[in-house]
Amino acid sequence: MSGIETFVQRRSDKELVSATILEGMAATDLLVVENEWRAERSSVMQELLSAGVARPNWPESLHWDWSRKVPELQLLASTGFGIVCEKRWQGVMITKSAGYFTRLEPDKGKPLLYVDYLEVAPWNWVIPQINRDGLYKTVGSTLFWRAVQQSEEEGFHGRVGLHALPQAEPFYEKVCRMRPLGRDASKQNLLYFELTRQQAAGFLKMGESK
Amino acid sequence: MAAKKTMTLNLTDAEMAVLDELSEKKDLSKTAVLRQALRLYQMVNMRIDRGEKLFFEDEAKKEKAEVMVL
Amino acid sequence: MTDNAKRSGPSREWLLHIADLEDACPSVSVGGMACDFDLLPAASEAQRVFGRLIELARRKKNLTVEQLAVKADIDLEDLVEIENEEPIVPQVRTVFQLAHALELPAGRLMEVAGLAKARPEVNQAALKFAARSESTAKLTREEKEALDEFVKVLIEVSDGG
Repeated sequence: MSGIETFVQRRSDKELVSATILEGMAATDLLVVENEWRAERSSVMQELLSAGVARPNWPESLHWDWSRKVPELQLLASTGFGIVCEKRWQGVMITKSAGYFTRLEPDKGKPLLYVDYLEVAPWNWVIPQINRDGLYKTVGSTLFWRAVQQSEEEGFHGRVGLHALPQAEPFYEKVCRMRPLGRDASKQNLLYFELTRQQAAGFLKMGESK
Repeated sequence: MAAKKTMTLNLTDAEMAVLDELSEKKDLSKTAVLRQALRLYQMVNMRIDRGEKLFFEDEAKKEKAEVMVL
Repeated sequence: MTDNAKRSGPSREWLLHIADLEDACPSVSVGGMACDFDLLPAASEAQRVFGRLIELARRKKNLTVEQLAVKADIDLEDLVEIENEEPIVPQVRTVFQLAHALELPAGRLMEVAGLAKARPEVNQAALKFAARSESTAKLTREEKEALDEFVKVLIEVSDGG
């Protein structure tokens, strides 16, 4: 696996802590992720149950099982990325680099990078109902940043597409500056978002001093 | 991105013309077009091996045709 | 080794900027994972089994839908939705109240309802139960057996921790 050095922000003191973006996750890595995250997910579920939080307010990815995603990684078109900080997987993303095409003009019909799955570790989830603040911020954003970068490397000029879960819709629209293009019946009615090459350039340059 | 190896590819004029056309149409380098083709071919084959079938559907004409993959 | 070695991540300025933006948008979950993993069909299967279980357990106690709703102190509408196996995930409170009224272990009933990750034993028993039970007005001997067997597993699993 190859890595890119980066940082994630610790929520408690806003410090940037060293982390690594790893590329080319193997099946065994996903199994480690599932093992590390499963216990924390159970705690979250217990806390939600005890607090009597209604099911629609639960994190939508609570039931995901990453180990079931292992066969996907055999595909040439799939790449697994993860962010590791303090020896733990803080977030994971799987992208597809073939078979997905841009819907938005002016690049309609040209290939884009599709983000199949993206999630941060359950200890990074923010769940106000059970007073969970999340340990690290910027994990999801950095994974998305890596997706835009991969898209450029593939010759897709930063074009990215994905189906966000309902609770994550504001993130992709407001933080990642993607355009919502309607719900897809074939994807459980999830909202489809796309990042054009112009928006990609803007996203990568965010925070740059003028 | 993983380390890469170089190979020479022998194509007919007709094949080269298609590669040029796809490269232009999809705004990709020729290498990227071939890489896309390989990924898709593997993906399709994997699903066929699992017993799935590949179809092209024409929504307007309500036609559906199975694609034979060798 | 790959040709990635020299690449760098996003700038510190970018990270600090994005960290502020993230405050307004806590979730980042992407994916057709739910569909690819058939989690949604699995959920409706859970609702089907849960609905059948509640209906049979109610009939075994010779209660009408109205009587059970009163006894469990839940909305009649919610109970009808559950027994009709509608694709709605029940509220945690509803499941707890029903468990109490029908004398079923609450924790396991949460698993059957799809509100908690089901143990393999519960899943297996639920599948067997679903295959055996048919919707009829009166509890047949087969239905009674199916119900008893399912409840037995739920209780055993509860006792065993």
